[in-house]
Order: sequence, then C-alpha cells, then structure tokens
Amino acid sequence: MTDPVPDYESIDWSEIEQRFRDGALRGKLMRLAATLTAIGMVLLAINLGGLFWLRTNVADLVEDRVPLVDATRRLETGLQRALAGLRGWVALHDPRFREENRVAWDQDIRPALRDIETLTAASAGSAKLRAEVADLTTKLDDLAESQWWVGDVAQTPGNEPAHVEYTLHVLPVKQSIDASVSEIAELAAEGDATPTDDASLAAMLLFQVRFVAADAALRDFIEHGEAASRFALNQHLAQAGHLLTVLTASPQAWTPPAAEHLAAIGREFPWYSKHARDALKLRAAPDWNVAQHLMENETVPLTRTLTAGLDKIVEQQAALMRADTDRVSFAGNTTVALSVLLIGLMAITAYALTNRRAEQITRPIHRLSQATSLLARGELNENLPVTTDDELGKLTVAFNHMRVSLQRSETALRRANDRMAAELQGAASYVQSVLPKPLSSADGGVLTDWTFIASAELGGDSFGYHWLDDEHLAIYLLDVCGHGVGPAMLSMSALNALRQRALPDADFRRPSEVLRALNKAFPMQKNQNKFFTIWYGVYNIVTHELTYGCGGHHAALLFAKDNGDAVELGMKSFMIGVVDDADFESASVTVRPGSRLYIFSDGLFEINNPDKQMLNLDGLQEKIRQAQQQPSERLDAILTSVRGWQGFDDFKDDYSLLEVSFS
Amino acid sequence: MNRRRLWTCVLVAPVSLLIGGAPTSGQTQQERTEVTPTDVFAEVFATAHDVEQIRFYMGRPRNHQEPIGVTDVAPREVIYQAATLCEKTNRLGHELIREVGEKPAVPDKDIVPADVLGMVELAHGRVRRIAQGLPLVLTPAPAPPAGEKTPTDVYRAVVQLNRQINILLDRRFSPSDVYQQVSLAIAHAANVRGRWPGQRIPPEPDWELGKRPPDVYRRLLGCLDLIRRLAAAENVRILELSVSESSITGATPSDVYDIASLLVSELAYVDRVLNGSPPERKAWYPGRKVPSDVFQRVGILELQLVQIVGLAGSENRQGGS
Repeated sequence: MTDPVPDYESIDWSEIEQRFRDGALRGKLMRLAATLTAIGMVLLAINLGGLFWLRTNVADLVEDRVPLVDATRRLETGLQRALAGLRGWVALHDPRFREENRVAWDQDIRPALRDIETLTAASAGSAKLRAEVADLTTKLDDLAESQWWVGDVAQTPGNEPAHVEYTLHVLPVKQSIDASVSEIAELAAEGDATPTDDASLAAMLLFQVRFVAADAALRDFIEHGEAASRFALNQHLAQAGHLLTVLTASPQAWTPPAAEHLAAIGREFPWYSKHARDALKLRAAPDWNVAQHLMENETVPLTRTLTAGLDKIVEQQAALMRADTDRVSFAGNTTVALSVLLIGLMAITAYALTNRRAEQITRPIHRLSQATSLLARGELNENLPVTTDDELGKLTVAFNHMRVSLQRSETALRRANDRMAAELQGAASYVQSVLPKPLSSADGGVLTDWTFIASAELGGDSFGYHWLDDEHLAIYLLDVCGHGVGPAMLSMSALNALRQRALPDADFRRPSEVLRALNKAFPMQKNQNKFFTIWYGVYNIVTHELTYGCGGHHAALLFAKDNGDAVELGMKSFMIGVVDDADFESASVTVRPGSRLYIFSDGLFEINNPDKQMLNLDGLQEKIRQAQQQPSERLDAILTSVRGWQGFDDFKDDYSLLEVSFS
Repeated sequence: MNRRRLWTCVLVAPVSLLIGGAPTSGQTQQERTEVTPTDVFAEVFATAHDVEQIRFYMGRPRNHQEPIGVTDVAPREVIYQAATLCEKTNRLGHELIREVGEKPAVPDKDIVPADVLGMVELAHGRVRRIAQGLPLVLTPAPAPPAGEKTPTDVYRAVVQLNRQINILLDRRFSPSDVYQQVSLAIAHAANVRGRWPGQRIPPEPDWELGKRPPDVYRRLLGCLDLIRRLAAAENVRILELSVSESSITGATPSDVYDIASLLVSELAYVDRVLNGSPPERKAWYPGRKVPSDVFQRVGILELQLVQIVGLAGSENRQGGS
C-alpha cells in the first residue's frame, strides 16, 4: 500500500486511527487459527467418516451377525431339545420329557426367535433375510402347533386307534360272547345244556379256547404289531368260526336255553370278527400310533425344514461375517492409512499456512526490528514503507513518526551538547585561567608545579596557593562534589574566598579556622546540596613548619628528599558544608629541605583499569614515589603512569595534581 | 313332495350306507337346489318317529327338554347337528346290533339344505338298520306338521332328536365326547390364529377341581360370544343363541356336546371364510374325562379366541386408519 503519511512531521492521529483498524492483526491471527481449525475439522470429519465406516462394519459384525448366528444356533439347539423332549414323551410317557419340551420352547426357541426378529428388524438392507425370518416364524408356529398336537394325543387312548376300536367295539362284543359261553357252560354244569351230545360240549369248549386265543392274539397284535400274532388271530378266528358253524348247524343237539345262547354267539361272532379285523387294519396302518405318525410325518419334517432354513441363515451370516471381517480389516487399514495421510496433510497445511501468515506478520516486525537497530545506531535516515493496514501498519507509522522525532531531538540535543561542551570548555578554560602560576625558586625557596585536566563534564576541582604574608604560604586544593558548571562555580567561589581572604573571623594562617569558616560560608543547603572537600596547608618558610587541615579530603603526600618514603598528611574530618558547626583540627609537620608535597584530587586514584581494579591512594602513592627518581617532568610521568593504568587519556573526573617542592 | 323325498330316501340311504360315500353324491345340481328346509325337517321328523319306536321297544324314557333357543340358523350350522345325529345313531347301532357306520364327514363347501338332508338321511338309514336288526317292524311315519320350515326349525328338531337318542344309549355322550369336540374347535381356532404370527395354542390354564357340565356349558357360551364378536368383525353372520339360566344349570354332557358341536360349526365356518381350508386335525378319543378336564380344555379355546379377537380388532383398526 502507498504510504498513508507523506508528512511525518505533522501527523493527524485521528485519521491514522481511522485508516488503521484496531484488531486487524488479531483478526488475521484469528482467521489463520480459524482456517487451520476449519481445515483440521474437515480432516477430522473425513477421519471420523472413516471411523464411522469402520464402526458400522464392526457393528454389523458384532451387533448383528454374531448375535444372529448365536441366536440361530440357540434356536437350532432348542428345536433339537424340544424334539428330544417330545420323543421322550411319546415313547416313554414320562411327564418330565413334556416339561423339557415346554422349557425348550419357553427358554430357548421363542427367546431366540425374538432375538432373531429383533436383530433382523434392526439390520438395514436385509429384506431377504427378514422374509426368510418371517417364513421361519410361520414354520416355527406350524411346528409348535404340530408338537402341541403330538404331545396332546400321545398319552390318550386315541393315540392308538386299534386300542380304541378294541375297547369301544370289539370288547363289548367279546364280553357278550363270553357271557353267552358262560351261560352255556353253567347250563352244561347243571346238565341242562345238551341232552345227549357230549361232543357238542367239547366243540363248544374248543370254540371257547379258540375264541379266547383269538382275542389274546388280537390284543397281542394290537400291543406289539407282530405278524405272528396276526397270523394266529386269523387262524384262531377261522377255527372258531368253523367250530361255531358246526355247533350252530345242529341246534337240536342243545337244550332251548343253550340253543338261544348259541344263537346269540352266532350273531355276535361275525361282528367280533369284523371289528377285530378293523382293529387289525388300524394296528397295521402306518398311523397306528397317531403321535408317532404325526411326529414322523409332520413334526420331524418341519423340524428338518426349519433346521435347514436355520443352517441356511447361519451359512449366509457366516458368509456375511467373512465379508464383514474382510471389510472391517480393509476399513481398519484404510482408516489408519487415511489417518496418517490426514495427519501429514494437516501438518503440511498447518506449516504452509502458518509460515505464510507468520511471514506476512513478522516481515514488518523484522523490518521494524532492523530499523530500530539502525535507528539506535543513528543510521536510519528513511521512513519504513507502510505495507499493512493493521496494528503493524499503525506501528510502522508511529515508528516513522518516532524516527523523525528522534532525529529532530537528536539534532537539537547535539546542538545543545555542543553548546554545553563549549560552555564547559569555556568554564574549564576559566578554571584553568584562574589557577595560579607556578612559583619560582625566588619565591622563598618554594617551587610549585601542577597539572589540571578538566573532565569532559567539568568537575569541581580547583586549587591555589598564595602568600599570606612574607613568611606564610597558603596551599590548598578543593574538590566540589558532582560535575558541571554548578560545582565549578562553587569551586571558584570557594577559591575566591580563600584568595581574597573573604572568610570572616578566620586567621588564614590557621587551617582549622579557615576550614570552620568555609564550612560556615558554604553550607550545602544554600548550594543546591553541594559540598566539597579541601586540603588546606600553611607553610612557614622561616620555621619550615607546615600546618595543615583536611575538610573531608584525603591525605596529601610529603616525600623527603633522601628516601622515597612518603608521609601522609591527612586526618579524619567532615566535608565542607555537610554539617553545621562542625569542628576541624589542624596538624603540623616540619618540612625538611628538598622535600616535595603532592596535593591531588580523587580523580587521580579513583580510576579503574580495564580489569575493573581501582588504582586507589596506595597505588597513586607508588606511582608518585617512582616519579621522584626523575629530576624533572615528574608530573608528566605521573600523568602518563595514571593514564597507563586506566588505559585511555580522558578522565571521568577532574585531574588535579599540585606539586610543592621545598628547597 | 315329501312322500317323493321319503321314497327317495328309502332307496338311496341303504345304497349310500353300503358304498360309504356322501348320500348326496348322486344328486344332480338341480335336485340339490330343489331341497328346502321343509324337506329336511320332514326327514328329521320321520327319523324321530322311527327313533320313538325304538325307544318304546327299548323301554327308555322320553326326552322332555325344552327346544334349544336359537334363531337365524343356517344350513351349515344344522349339518353339524346332523353329523352329531349320525354319530349317535352309529353308537346306538353298535350297542344294539353291533353295526358301525362310517364316521360322517361334513363337506368342505357351502352347505345347502340338500347337504343337511343327506346327513339326516344317513342317520335315518342307520336308525332303520337298527330297527331291522333288533328286529323291529317300523310303522310308517305320519305326515309332518304342515307349513314351511326354516333351518332354525330343523336345527331345533335335530337337537331334540339327538337328546332323545342320547337317552337310548348305554354309553351316553360324556365329557370325553365334549372334549373331542372342543379339541376340534381348538384346531379350527389355531388355523384362524395362524393368520397372525405367534403361538397358536396357548398354554392350558390351571386344572380346577369340581367343575360340572353347567360350568363347561357356560364357558362354551362365552366362547361362542367371542366367536360372534370375531364374526362381526369379519362380516360373517352366525346364529343367535338364547339359553335360559335353567337350561344352563340343568345342562347334561349331551347338551354340552351339542353346544360344543355348534361352536365347532361356527368356528369351522369362520375358519373357512378366513382361511379357505380346514385344518388337517382330528379329535382323538381322549379316554375317560371329567368336566374339569373339559373345562380346562375350553379354557385353551377361550384364550385362543381372546387373542384372535384382539388381533383381528387391531388389524381392522390399522386397516381403517
């Protein structure tokens, strides 16, 4: 996009607010997240589809096929159990078998059928199976009814029609014949059956024997159905019939009562024969045992048909199970492969989209970062292009504005610094200008030399010496805390007060009084909380006595001529201006000829070498001692040595070193 | 007409008895349609006359029961009572002359008066054979009461005749015979129940001690009422039966048999209308039974009918909705 702010000097921020929408970057990030989420969800949906497919196949297998096969098997088992129970009931007449049959239906067959109906009703796309199950249900109902009838008839007399025929039709006739025979026998016993013919009685007896044997054979045949019994029956009936014919052929051989009974036998016997043969036919018929016949011709075939149907269902389900298993296996493998593919696709898509969006988002940030580095180094002279309309675009605009502002401020600051540096330089020059000129040997045998290097920020060092009278020389060095013009001016004021002896009630030959007067004249409360340290000494050229005092300043060093040892001329005391009414002491030392006194500010020893080790007072003392070996230019040697210590020429604080040589 | 029919019967019945087939098998379609309930009534009347002579011969008491209170009877309902008549004459024939005829079979078709007449003629022929075997010379029957007769009149007359013959039997119709009729009814009910999936013959109810024929009779009437509801749902007409409380309390096994026979006829008809084919079931001689046994068996039938009525009602409601 084109730079929306041609002039960064005068930005209309309300317009910027309108042109750069807050939340646009958030919107981009959210769109990225939403896009990734949407893609993820689509891929997840595809994966879920695969899982659902797998689940459907597994469900078909686990929820439909296996239970269906199980139920079908249970049904088959139930059918066999029911049939076995029924067979037991028919064959053995034991009620426990009938109960077994009932239990098979109630606990095995019908529950299994219900399960099958439920499973087939629930499974989709199995109309053929449902039709088969419906047919199965009908056949099962047929079978149940058939078994009911078999069970119902099995234990009734009607189960064997030959028995019924014998009981209802044969037996009454037999009983009638037996009764007539008994009557004749009773008559015979009374001698009233036949007048003369004992042979007739014998024939009658023989008839009775044959008749009883025939009836026994009939009952035996009805009971066991053996051909021998049938044969015997026919034989006995034929012989009995023949005997009866003989007997009835000569009725005159019998008494009238006996003849009447004989006639009754003659009428009944043909019916006996007829009904006996009817019973024979019934016994010889295939359905002589109704239950057995029903079972073999109806129940068992129905059971076989059902079993075959169930086997067919089992085979179909087994085939479907195999197909399902193959499908499940395929679905499982496909789902795994699909999952892996989708995961990979998701990762690639996420990486590509995120990378692209991250590139879009971080490019301006990176550019800003680089620009910030350039700006920090002061090397950025052009505005960044505004390429987005979001918060980053707005940030770029703000950055450009900041860059312009910073450049403007830097320019102003540089000018101010230059001005200040010039002022400091001027102040330093002033300080240097007010420093006293070195004393020559004509000045009472005292020589002075000094080195003053103002720091860049101008410290508050100053020093001086002047004759108080013909005998006394005042020597002093002070150091105002802080840097800049302020401390320099305080330093100058204090210096002037000492030069011009403008301290009231102070004998400038007495250091303690001078220090007290300075403390009173320059309290820190009146000088922007600034205070200073001072070393002040007075040398009597007659007595060679040096009286000195310290206002918080470190000791000066006095080197004797004959040895390199230095005497530290210092004492503990308050700094000037810090404590009202502070008391100051002074001390004296006799100076031997040839000695040199060194007074210096802390800018000479409170310096660090590159290893961050401070030089400190002892180190400086050693450097001054070494310089004592040189006949001249000792101060330069000290300066060189100190500079060597810190590794560079400039000093952070003022470098003030005053050498006083006593001859 | 009646005289002509009478002669026809005299000639045809023995032949039919000998060949064992239905006596109407030789009739032409025209003859079949010409037979009226009045003709059938005349044949029943003549049979009753002959039975009365046998009763007199045997010295057995006369039946004094009130005629059964039925109305709107159809030939198909009469023919079952006529079949019962054949059964009873068969049994009487065996007891008196040892002769047993074939078991009568109700034809599986729309029953017309000619079919009923054939069944009655079969029974009449057996009565004559019994008389002949005794031996008893029968006097010709007088002319039947004048006037047109309805199937209801025939039904009542046949029932009364059945009651009379039952009195003549040494082995009278007993709970065992009722049991067989109820079993036939169960077979028909199972056939009807087979229209819907499910157990066609429910578990038998508990056996209850001390039941008497009136209890069975009452339960059978309840079943008949259920059949009437089923028939109404299927637009099938069945006869109206009005039985007094005294008739119920005084019911004998023979009366119970008659009502069971009626029940079978109605169920068979409903079965035929709904399914078209009769069940391939027979009732087997169950041996000695007491009324409690029969009561229990009627309980099975009752449960079947309750189920069937419920299922038919649901089906009709679904069809209506």
